[in-house]
Amino acid sequence: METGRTELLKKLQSYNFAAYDMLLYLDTHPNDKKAFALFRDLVEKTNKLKAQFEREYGPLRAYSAANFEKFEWYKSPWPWEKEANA
Amino acid sequence: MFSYDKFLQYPIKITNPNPKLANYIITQYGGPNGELAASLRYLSQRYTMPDDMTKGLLTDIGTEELGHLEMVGTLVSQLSKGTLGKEWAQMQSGEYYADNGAAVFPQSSQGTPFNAASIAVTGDPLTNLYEDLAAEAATL
Repeated sequence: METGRTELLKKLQSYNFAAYDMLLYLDTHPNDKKAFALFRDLVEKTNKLKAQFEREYGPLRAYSAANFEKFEWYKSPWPWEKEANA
Repeated sequence: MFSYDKFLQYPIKITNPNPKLANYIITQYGGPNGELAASLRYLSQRYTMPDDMTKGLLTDIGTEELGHLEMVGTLVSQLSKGTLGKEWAQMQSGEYYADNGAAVFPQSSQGTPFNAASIAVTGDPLTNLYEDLAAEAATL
């Protein structure tokens, strides 16, 4: 696949990973205001990157397929395929 | 309920297929200390957790473990893709190929199909949490 797709996906995966780690931390430290602020920031960035990726390369969630002219959710590459990560 | 994100938690791109390595890694998919066991352990234990904090925590950890399961499955899939039976035999992994071909089957490296006997889900929250600690420590 093209470089632009891979780079954008990596960036999205990085923010998503960090956001999920903050989620797990907050589950046991719900009153940590600094952590919650960081979580909000990471989720906002993740969501923006997801939206950008979907606009350029197709749906990441099944329901996002509704935002397109044609139904393209089922189309390759699927995440386990090398082509999705290359 | 669960819904699916069409991307891996971390990118995986394997250049050289390797049946023997696939045979080793499959235990992290469906073996006694694998990701399937981990996800089922957390997601089953959460039903008897007594407070909101542990209900949320076990839900979110169990969900992340499903993401790990997908990554390990991806490793085995890419290590196996396009390989021939004779390559598995040459690498002393012919038994795996005989049962499963170049597919991703939830089993241990030694061939035991996934068995929930390797996890414990009790009604006692502390026992569950100790079991989680032991299971995480067993992951090499």
